[in-house]
Amino acid sequence: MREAAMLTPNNLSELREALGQATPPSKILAGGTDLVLAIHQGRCKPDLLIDLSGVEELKIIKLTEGRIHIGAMATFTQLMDNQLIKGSLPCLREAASLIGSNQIRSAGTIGGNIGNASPAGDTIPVLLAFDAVVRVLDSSGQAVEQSIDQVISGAGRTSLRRDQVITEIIIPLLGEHYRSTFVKIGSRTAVTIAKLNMALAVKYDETAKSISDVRVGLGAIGTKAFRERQVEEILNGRRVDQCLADTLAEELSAAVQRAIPGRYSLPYKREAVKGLAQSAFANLFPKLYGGVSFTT
Amino acid sequence: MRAMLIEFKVNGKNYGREVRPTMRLLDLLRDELGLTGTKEGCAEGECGACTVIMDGEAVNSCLVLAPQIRGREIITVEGLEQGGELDLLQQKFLEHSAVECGFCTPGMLMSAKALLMKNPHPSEEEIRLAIAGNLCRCAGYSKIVAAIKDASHSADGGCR
Repeated sequence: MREAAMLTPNNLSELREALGQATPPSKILAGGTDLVLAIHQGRCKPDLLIDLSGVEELKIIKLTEGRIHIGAMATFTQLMDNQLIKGSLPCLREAASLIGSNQIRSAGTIGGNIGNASPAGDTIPVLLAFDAVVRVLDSSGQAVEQSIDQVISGAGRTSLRRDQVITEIIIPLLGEHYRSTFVKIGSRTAVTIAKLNMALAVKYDETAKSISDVRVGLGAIGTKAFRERQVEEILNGRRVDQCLADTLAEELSAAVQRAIPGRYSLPYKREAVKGLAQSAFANLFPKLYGGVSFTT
Repeated sequence: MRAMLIEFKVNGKNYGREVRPTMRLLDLLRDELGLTGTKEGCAEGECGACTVIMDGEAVNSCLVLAPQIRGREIITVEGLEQGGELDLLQQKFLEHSAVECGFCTPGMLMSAKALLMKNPHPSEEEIRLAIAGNLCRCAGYSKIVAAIKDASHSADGGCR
Protein backbone atom coordinates (compact mmCIF):
# COMPACT_ATOMS: atom_id res chain seq x y z
CA MET A 1 0.00 0.00 0.00
CA ARG A 2 1.25 3.45 -0.90
CA GLU A 3 1.81 5.55 2.19
CA ALA A 4 -0.55 8.49 2.56
CA ALA A 5 0.82 12.01 2.59
CA MET A 6 -0.30 14.46 5.25
CA LEU A 7 -0.91 18.18 5.16
CA THR A 8 -0.96 20.04 8.46
CA PRO A 9 -2.53 23.48 7.94
CA ASN A 10 -2.06 25.92 10.82
CA ASN A 11 -4.89 28.32 9.96
CA LEU A 12 -7.95 28.65 7.74
CA SER A 13 -6.05 30.07 4.79
CA GLU A 14 -3.56 27.18 4.82
CA LEU A 15 -6.55 24.86 5.16
CA ARG A 16 -8.08 26.32 1.96
CA GLU A 17 -4.83 25.68 0.10
CA ALA A 18 -4.68 22.12 1.46
CA LEU A 19 -8.26 21.45 0.31
CA GLY A 20 -7.18 22.38 -3.22
CA GLN A 21 -4.88 19.35 -3.26
CA ALA A 22 -7.55 16.86 -2.21
CA THR A 23 -8.53 14.04 -4.56
CA PRO A 24 -11.49 11.61 -4.20
CA PRO A 25 -9.68 9.18 -1.82
CA SER A 26 -8.32 12.03 0.36
CA LYS A 27 -9.58 12.29 3.92
CA ILE A 28 -10.02 15.06 6.45
CA LEU A 29 -8.52 14.02 9.80
CA ALA A 30 -10.40 15.52 12.76
CA GLY A 31 -10.17 13.71 16.13
CA GLY A 32 -9.28 10.46 14.39
CA THR A 33 -11.24 8.11 16.65
CA ASP A 34 -12.90 6.45 13.65
CA LEU A 35 -10.55 7.32 10.77
CA VAL A 36 -7.29 6.21 12.44
CA LEU A 37 -8.86 2.85 13.17
CA ALA A 38 -10.15 2.51 9.59
CA ILE A 39 -6.69 3.31 8.21
CA HIS A 40 -4.94 0.92 10.59
CA GLN A 41 -7.33 -1.89 9.69
CA GLY A 42 -6.89 -1.20 5.97
CA ARG A 43 -10.57 -0.33 5.44
CA CYS A 44 -9.58 3.16 4.35
CA LYS A 45 -6.62 3.88 2.06
CA PRO A 46 -6.32 7.64 1.66
CA ASP A 47 -3.70 9.18 -0.63
CA LEU A 48 -3.74 12.36 1.41
CA LEU A 49 -4.74 13.25 4.96
CA ILE A 50 -5.55 16.83 5.87
CA ASP A 51 -5.05 17.09 9.61
CA LEU A 52 -7.19 19.81 11.21
CA SER A 53 -5.62 19.59 14.67
CA GLY A 54 -3.39 22.61 14.09
CA VAL A 55 -6.20 24.97 13.02
CA GLU A 56 -6.99 26.82 16.26
CA GLU A 57 -9.90 28.77 14.72
CA LEU A 58 -11.81 25.48 14.50
CA LYS A 59 -11.79 24.95 18.28
CA ILE A 60 -13.71 28.07 19.31
CA ILE A 61 -17.16 28.01 20.94
CA LYS A 62 -18.97 31.36 21.04
CA LEU A 63 -22.42 32.97 21.22
CA THR A 64 -23.27 35.48 18.50
CA GLU A 65 -26.75 36.99 17.96
CA GLY A 66 -28.68 34.20 19.61
CA ARG A 67 -26.77 31.44 17.84
CA ILE A 68 -24.07 29.28 19.36
CA HIS A 69 -21.14 28.74 17.01
CA ILE A 70 -19.15 25.60 17.69
CA GLY A 71 -15.87 25.07 15.85
CA ALA A 72 -15.81 21.73 14.04
CA MET A 73 -12.73 20.64 16.02
CA ALA A 74 -14.34 21.21 19.44
CA THR A 75 -14.01 17.88 21.25
CA PHE A 76 -16.82 16.22 23.17
CA THR A 77 -14.88 16.91 26.38
CA GLN A 78 -14.77 20.59 25.41
CA LEU A 79 -18.55 20.54 24.85
CA MET A 80 -19.02 18.99 28.31
CA ASP A 81 -16.75 21.52 30.06
CA ASN A 82 -17.94 24.64 28.20
CA GLN A 83 -20.05 27.00 30.34
CA LEU A 84 -22.01 28.33 27.37
CA ILE A 85 -23.07 24.82 26.35
CA LYS A 86 -23.79 23.87 29.97
CA GLY A 87 -26.09 26.88 30.36
CA SER A 88 -27.78 27.07 26.96
CA LEU A 89 -27.63 23.60 25.40
CA PRO A 90 -27.68 21.07 28.23
CA CYS A 91 -29.05 18.40 25.90
CA LEU A 92 -26.02 18.73 23.61
CA ARG A 93 -23.82 18.44 26.71
CA GLU A 94 -25.74 15.31 27.70
CA ALA A 95 -25.28 13.79 24.23
CA ALA A 96 -21.53 14.57 24.29
CA SER A 97 -21.15 13.06 27.77
CA LEU A 98 -22.68 9.76 26.62
CA ILE A 99 -20.30 9.28 23.68
CA GLY A 100 -17.65 6.56 24.06
CA SER A 101 -15.19 6.74 26.92
CA ASN A 102 -13.34 9.65 28.46
CA GLN A 103 -10.44 8.90 26.05
CA ILE A 104 -12.75 8.96 23.01
CA ARG A 105 -14.42 12.18 24.19
CA SER A 106 -11.09 13.98 24.59
CA ALA A 107 -10.17 13.23 20.97
CA GLY A 108 -13.49 12.97 19.10
CA THR A 109 -15.00 16.16 17.68
CA ILE A 110 -18.45 17.46 16.80
CA GLY A 111 -17.35 18.12 13.21
CA GLY A 112 -16.12 14.55 12.98
CA ASN A 113 -19.41 13.27 14.36
CA ILE A 114 -21.18 14.89 11.38
CA GLY A 115 -18.50 14.16 8.75
CA ASN A 116 -18.27 10.51 9.79
CA ALA A 117 -22.06 10.30 9.26
CA SER A 118 -22.60 7.29 11.49
CA PRO A 119 -26.35 6.56 11.72
CA ALA A 120 -25.77 6.27 15.50
CA GLY A 121 -23.88 9.58 15.92
CA ASP A 122 -25.06 10.97 19.25
CA THR A 123 -24.92 14.70 18.56
CA ILE A 124 -26.93 14.40 15.31
CA PRO A 125 -30.47 14.05 16.78
CA VAL A 126 -29.78 17.10 18.98
CA LEU A 127 -28.52 19.16 16.04
CA LEU A 128 -31.59 18.12 14.01
CA ALA A 129 -33.98 19.05 16.82
CA PHE A 130 -32.39 22.50 17.11
CA ASP A 131 -32.36 23.08 13.31
CA ALA A 132 -28.58 23.52 13.47
CA VAL A 133 -26.72 24.43 10.32
CA VAL A 134 -23.21 23.52 9.24
CA ARG A 135 -20.76 26.00 7.79
CA VAL A 136 -18.82 24.44 4.94
CA LEU A 137 -15.64 25.95 3.49
CA ASP A 138 -14.13 25.05 0.13
CA SER A 139 -10.74 25.48 -1.51
CA SER A 140 -11.78 28.72 -3.23
CA GLY A 141 -12.55 30.25 0.16
CA GLN A 142 -16.29 30.18 -0.36
CA ALA A 143 -18.29 29.36 2.78
CA VAL A 144 -21.90 28.16 2.67
CA GLU A 145 -24.39 27.19 5.35
CA GLN A 146 -26.11 23.85 4.91
CA SER A 147 -28.58 21.92 7.05
CA ILE A 148 -27.43 18.74 8.80
CA ASP A 149 -29.86 16.86 6.58
CA GLN A 150 -28.22 18.26 3.43
CA VAL A 151 -24.72 17.36 4.61
CA ILE A 152 -25.41 13.82 5.80
CA SER A 153 -26.68 11.76 2.86
CA GLY A 154 -26.59 8.23 4.30
CA ALA A 155 -24.68 5.78 6.47
CA GLY A 156 -21.06 6.98 6.38
CA ARG A 157 -21.83 9.26 3.43
CA THR A 158 -21.96 13.04 3.12
CA SER A 159 -22.73 15.39 0.26
CA LEU A 160 -19.44 17.24 0.82
CA ARG A 161 -17.16 17.61 -2.18
CA ARG A 162 -13.55 16.53 -1.84
CA ASP A 163 -12.40 20.14 -1.49
CA GLN A 164 -14.96 20.99 1.21
CA VAL A 165 -14.67 20.85 4.98
CA ILE A 166 -17.03 21.47 7.89
CA THR A 167 -15.67 24.45 9.82
CA GLU A 168 -18.48 25.32 12.20
CA ILE A 169 -21.78 24.10 13.57
CA ILE A 170 -24.26 26.90 14.23
CA ILE A 171 -27.11 26.27 16.63
CA PRO A 172 -29.95 28.81 16.96
CA LEU A 173 -30.95 28.97 20.64
CA LEU A 174 -34.57 28.28 21.44
CA GLY A 175 -36.32 30.70 23.81
CA GLU A 176 -36.47 30.45 27.57
CA HIS A 177 -39.80 28.60 27.53
CA TYR A 178 -38.26 25.63 25.77
CA ARG A 179 -37.21 22.39 27.41
CA SER A 180 -34.99 19.81 25.75
CA THR A 181 -33.36 16.49 26.49
CA PHE A 182 -31.24 13.75 24.93
CA VAL A 183 -31.73 10.05 25.68
CA LYS A 184 -29.96 6.97 24.41
CA ILE A 185 -30.12 3.20 24.65
CA GLY A 186 -27.01 1.08 24.12
CA SER A 187 -25.90 -2.36 25.16
CA ARG A 188 -24.51 -0.93 28.40
CA THR A 189 -24.52 2.39 30.26
CA ALA A 190 -21.07 3.75 29.38
CA VAL A 191 -18.81 3.37 26.34
CA THR A 192 -21.58 2.22 24.06
CA ILE A 193 -22.75 2.82 20.51
CA ALA A 194 -26.39 3.87 20.46
CA LYS A 195 -28.98 1.27 19.47
CA LEU A 196 -31.45 4.16 19.65
CA ASN A 197 -30.96 7.82 20.44
CA MET A 198 -33.32 10.74 20.53
CA ALA A 199 -33.45 14.45 21.20
CA LEU A 200 -36.77 15.95 22.25
CA ALA A 201 -37.36 19.70 22.49
CA VAL A 202 -40.67 21.40 23.23
CA LYS A 203 -42.01 24.87 24.01
CA TYR A 204 -43.86 24.59 27.31
CA ASP A 205 -46.73 26.86 28.30
CA GLU A 206 -46.71 26.89 32.13
CA THR A 207 -50.25 28.28 32.37
CA ALA A 208 -52.00 26.02 29.90
CA LYS A 209 -49.63 23.13 30.79
CA SER A 210 -49.36 22.35 27.10
CA ILE A 211 -46.56 21.95 24.59
CA SER A 212 -45.99 23.38 21.13
CA ASP A 213 -43.18 23.58 18.54
CA VAL A 214 -42.36 19.95 19.31
CA ARG A 215 -39.08 18.73 17.82
CA VAL A 216 -38.17 15.06 17.70
CA GLY A 217 -34.73 14.01 16.38
CA LEU A 218 -34.34 10.23 16.10
CA GLY A 219 -31.10 8.34 15.44
CA ALA A 220 -29.72 4.82 15.01
CA ILE A 221 -32.83 3.87 13.04
CA GLY A 222 -32.12 3.30 9.37
CA THR A 223 -29.27 4.90 7.45
CA LYS A 224 -29.39 8.40 8.89
CA ALA A 225 -30.94 10.29 11.78
CA PHE A 226 -34.14 12.21 11.01
CA ARG A 227 -36.83 14.54 12.33
CA GLU A 228 -40.06 12.66 12.99
CA ARG A 229 -42.50 15.33 11.74
CA GLN A 230 -45.61 13.16 12.00
CA VAL A 231 -45.04 12.55 15.73
CA GLU A 232 -44.22 16.25 16.21
CA GLU A 233 -47.59 17.23 14.68
CA ILE A 234 -49.52 14.80 16.87
CA LEU A 235 -47.92 16.20 20.03
CA ASN A 236 -48.25 19.89 19.14
CA GLY A 237 -50.72 21.77 21.36
CA ARG A 238 -51.35 18.78 23.63
CA ARG A 239 -51.71 19.05 27.39
CA VAL A 240 -48.87 17.49 29.39
CA ASP A 241 -49.89 14.46 31.43
CA GLN A 242 -48.95 10.80 31.71
CA CYS A 243 -51.37 10.06 28.89
CA LEU A 244 -49.27 12.26 26.58
CA ALA A 245 -46.11 10.35 27.51
CA ASP A 246 -47.88 7.13 26.54
CA THR A 247 -49.03 8.72 23.28
CA LEU A 248 -45.42 9.72 22.52
CA ALA A 249 -44.31 6.14 23.23
CA GLU A 250 -46.94 4.62 20.94
CA GLU A 251 -46.38 7.16 18.15
CA LEU A 252 -42.60 6.68 18.25
CA SER A 253 -43.10 2.94 18.10
CA ALA A 254 -45.22 3.44 14.97
CA ALA A 255 -42.53 5.75 13.56
CA VAL A 256 -39.87 3.05 14.04
CA GLN A 257 -42.17 0.61 12.24
CA ARG A 258 -42.49 3.06 9.32
CA ALA A 259 -38.74 3.74 9.20
CA ILE A 260 -37.35 0.21 9.18
CA PRO A 261 -40.05 -2.24 8.02
CA GLY A 262 -38.74 -5.79 7.84
CA ARG A 263 -35.39 -4.94 9.45
CA TYR A 264 -34.14 -7.64 11.85
CA SER A 265 -33.79 -5.07 14.63
CA LEU A 266 -37.39 -3.83 14.25
CA PRO A 267 -39.04 -6.05 16.92
CA TYR A 268 -36.47 -4.83 19.46
CA LYS A 269 -36.40 -1.18 18.48
CA ARG A 270 -40.15 -0.64 18.24
CA GLU A 271 -40.45 -1.78 21.88
CA ALA A 272 -37.24 -0.14 23.17
CA VAL A 273 -38.24 3.25 21.77
CA LYS A 274 -41.22 3.27 24.17
CA GLY A 275 -38.84 3.26 27.13
CA LEU A 276 -36.81 5.97 25.47
CA ALA A 277 -39.99 8.06 25.13
CA GLN A 278 -40.83 7.69 28.81
CA SER A 279 -37.24 8.60 29.82
CA ALA A 280 -37.29 11.69 27.61
CA PHE A 281 -40.68 12.77 28.92
CA ALA A 282 -39.54 12.26 32.52
CA ASN A 283 -36.49 14.45 31.89
CA LEU A 284 -38.66 17.24 30.46
CA PHE A 285 -41.40 16.98 33.08
CA PRO A 286 -39.82 15.40 36.20
CA LYS A 287 -42.82 16.27 38.41
CA LEU A 288 -44.97 13.80 36.48
CA TYR A 289 -42.54 11.07 37.48
CA GLY A 290 -41.98 12.15 41.09
CA GLY A 291 -38.74 13.96 40.28
CA VAL A 292 -36.91 10.98 38.78
CA SER A 293 -34.64 11.75 35.82
CA PHE A 294 -33.02 9.40 33.35
CA THR A 295 -29.70 9.85 31.65
CA THR A 296 -29.93 6.79 29.43
CA MET B 1 8.10 6.43 2.40
CA ARG B 2 6.87 9.97 2.90
CA ALA B 3 8.37 10.82 6.28
CA MET B 4 7.46 13.93 8.22
CA LEU B 5 9.67 15.62 10.78
CA ILE B 6 7.77 16.42 13.95
CA GLU B 7 8.74 17.89 17.31
CA PHE B 8 7.02 16.98 20.54
CA LYS B 9 7.55 16.37 24.23
CA VAL B 10 7.24 13.03 26.03
CA ASN B 11 7.59 12.82 29.82
CA GLY B 12 9.23 16.24 29.92
CA LYS B 13 11.83 15.46 27.24
CA ASN B 14 11.88 17.18 23.85
CA TYR B 15 12.05 15.00 20.76
CA GLY B 16 12.41 15.55 17.04
CA ARG B 17 11.57 12.49 14.94
CA GLU B 18 10.81 11.51 11.38
CA VAL B 19 7.54 9.59 11.26
CA ARG B 20 5.29 8.05 8.63
CA PRO B 21 2.04 10.07 8.40
CA THR B 22 -0.09 7.03 9.30
CA MET B 23 2.08 5.77 12.17
CA ARG B 24 0.03 5.54 15.35
CA LEU B 25 1.17 7.34 18.49
CA LEU B 26 1.17 3.91 20.19
CA ASP B 27 3.78 2.61 17.71
CA LEU B 28 5.86 5.76 17.98
CA LEU B 29 6.02 5.38 21.75
CA ARG B 30 6.71 1.64 21.82
CA ASP B 31 8.78 1.00 18.70
CA GLU B 32 10.60 4.29 18.15
CA LEU B 33 11.04 5.63 21.69
CA GLY B 34 11.19 2.25 23.47
CA LEU B 35 8.48 3.27 25.95
CA THR B 36 6.84 -0.15 26.18
CA GLY B 37 4.89 0.61 29.37
CA THR B 38 2.03 1.72 27.11
CA LYS B 39 0.25 -1.47 26.05
CA GLU B 40 -1.59 -2.49 22.90
CA GLY B 41 -4.77 -4.34 23.81
CA CYS B 42 -7.72 -4.25 21.42
CA ALA B 43 -6.18 -1.69 19.02
CA GLU B 44 -9.63 -0.22 18.44
CA GLY B 45 -10.23 2.22 21.26
CA GLU B 46 -12.32 -0.07 23.44
CA CYS B 47 -9.94 -1.40 26.11
CA GLY B 48 -7.88 1.63 27.16
CA ALA B 49 -4.62 -0.31 27.67
CA CYS B 50 -2.84 2.22 25.42
CA THR B 51 -4.09 5.31 27.32
CA VAL B 52 -1.63 8.20 27.56
CA ILE B 53 -2.12 11.85 28.54
CA MET B 54 -1.95 14.38 25.69
CA ASP B 55 -1.95 18.04 26.76
CA GLY B 56 -3.71 17.11 29.99
CA GLU B 57 -6.38 14.81 28.49
CA ALA B 58 -6.45 11.01 28.49
CA VAL B 59 -6.49 9.63 24.93
CA ASN B 60 -6.18 6.21 23.31
CA SER B 61 -2.73 6.22 21.68
CA CYS B 62 -3.98 3.60 19.19
CA LEU B 63 -6.41 6.20 17.77
CA VAL B 64 -3.98 9.11 17.43
CA LEU B 65 -1.61 9.46 14.48
CA ALA B 66 1.97 10.35 15.37
CA PRO B 67 1.98 13.64 13.37
CA GLN B 68 -0.99 14.83 15.46
CA ILE B 69 1.25 15.18 18.53
CA ARG B 70 3.45 17.81 16.91
CA GLY B 71 3.98 20.63 19.40
CA ARG B 72 2.13 18.71 22.08
CA GLU B 73 3.10 17.15 25.38
CA ILE B 74 2.57 13.46 26.08
CA ILE B 75 2.80 11.74 29.47
CA THR B 76 3.14 7.95 29.51
CA VAL B 77 3.22 5.60 32.48
CA GLU B 78 7.03 5.93 32.49
CA GLY B 79 6.57 9.63 33.23
CA LEU B 80 4.68 9.09 36.50
CA GLU B 81 7.72 8.22 38.58
CA GLN B 82 9.79 11.26 39.54
CA GLY B 83 13.42 11.04 40.72
CA GLY B 84 13.20 7.33 41.43
CA GLU B 85 10.06 7.75 43.52
CA LEU B 86 6.73 6.27 42.49
CA ASP B 87 3.77 8.58 41.92
CA LEU B 88 1.23 8.47 44.75
CA LEU B 89 -1.22 6.70 42.43
CA GLN B 90 1.33 3.96 41.72
CA GLN B 91 1.99 3.56 45.47
CA LYS B 92 -1.73 3.29 46.18
CA PHE B 93 -2.20 0.70 43.41
CA LEU B 94 0.50 -1.39 45.14
CA GLU B 95 -0.91 -0.88 48.64
CA HIS B 96 -4.40 -1.88 47.52
CA SER B 97 -3.19 -4.82 45.40
CA ALA B 98 -4.95 -3.13 42.49
CA VAL B 99 -2.69 -5.00 40.05
CA GLU B 100 -3.51 -8.56 39.02
CA CYS B 101 -2.08 -9.59 35.64
CA GLY B 102 -0.98 -5.97 35.21
CA PHE B 103 -1.78 -5.51 31.52
CA CYS B 104 -4.45 -2.86 32.08
CA THR B 105 -2.48 -1.13 34.84
CA PRO B 106 -0.56 1.48 32.78
CA GLY B 107 -3.79 2.57 31.05
CA MET B 108 -5.72 2.60 34.35
CA LEU B 109 -2.99 4.72 35.93
CA MET B 110 -3.01 7.22 33.07
CA SER B 111 -6.82 7.56 33.07
CA ALA B 112 -6.72 8.04 36.84
CA LYS B 113 -3.86 10.53 36.57
CA ALA B 114 -5.71 12.57 33.93
CA LEU B 115 -8.76 12.64 36.21
CA LEU B 116 -6.80 13.79 39.28
CA MET B 117 -4.96 16.44 37.26
CA LYS B 118 -8.34 17.98 36.35
CA ASN B 119 -10.30 17.09 39.45
CA PRO B 120 -8.10 16.32 42.50
CA HIS B 121 -10.97 15.16 44.71
CA PRO B 122 -13.41 13.19 42.54
CA SER B 123 -16.47 11.30 43.78
CA GLU B 124 -16.58 7.52 43.36
CA GLU B 125 -18.96 7.99 40.43
CA GLU B 126 -16.51 10.37 38.76
CA ILE B 127 -13.70 7.83 39.28
CA ARG B 128 -15.79 5.05 37.74
CA LEU B 129 -16.71 7.26 34.77
CA ALA B 130 -13.07 8.24 34.23
CA ILE B 131 -12.00 4.58 33.96
CA ALA B 132 -15.12 3.41 32.05
CA GLY B 133 -12.92 3.21 28.95
CA ASN B 134 -10.36 0.94 30.63
CA LEU B 135 -11.12 -2.76 30.71
CA CYS B 136 -9.60 -5.03 33.37
CA ARG B 137 -10.09 -8.64 32.25
CA CYS B 138 -9.10 -9.85 35.73
CA ALA B 139 -12.14 -7.77 36.78
CA GLY B 140 -10.24 -6.21 39.68
CA TYR B 141 -12.20 -2.98 39.48
CA SER B 142 -13.06 -2.58 43.18
CA LYS B 143 -9.44 -2.44 44.24
CA ILE B 144 -8.54 -0.10 41.40
CA VAL B 145 -11.34 2.29 42.40
CA ALA B 146 -10.27 2.04 46.07
CA ALA B 147 -6.65 2.84 45.14
CA ILE B 148 -7.65 5.90 43.11
CA LYS B 149 -10.00 7.07 45.86
CA ASP B 150 -7.23 6.68 48.44
CA ALA B 151 -4.79 8.69 46.30
CA SER B 152 -7.40 11.43 45.88
CA HIS B 153 -7.87 11.68 49.66
CA SER B 154 -4.33 12.96 50.13
CA ALA B 155 -4.14 16.74 50.51
CA ASP B 156 -2.99 17.46 46.95
CA GLY B 157 -5.26 14.89 45.32
CA GLY B 158 -2.31 12.77 44.30
CA CYS B 159 -0.98 15.43 41.95
CA ARG B 160 2.50 16.61 42.46
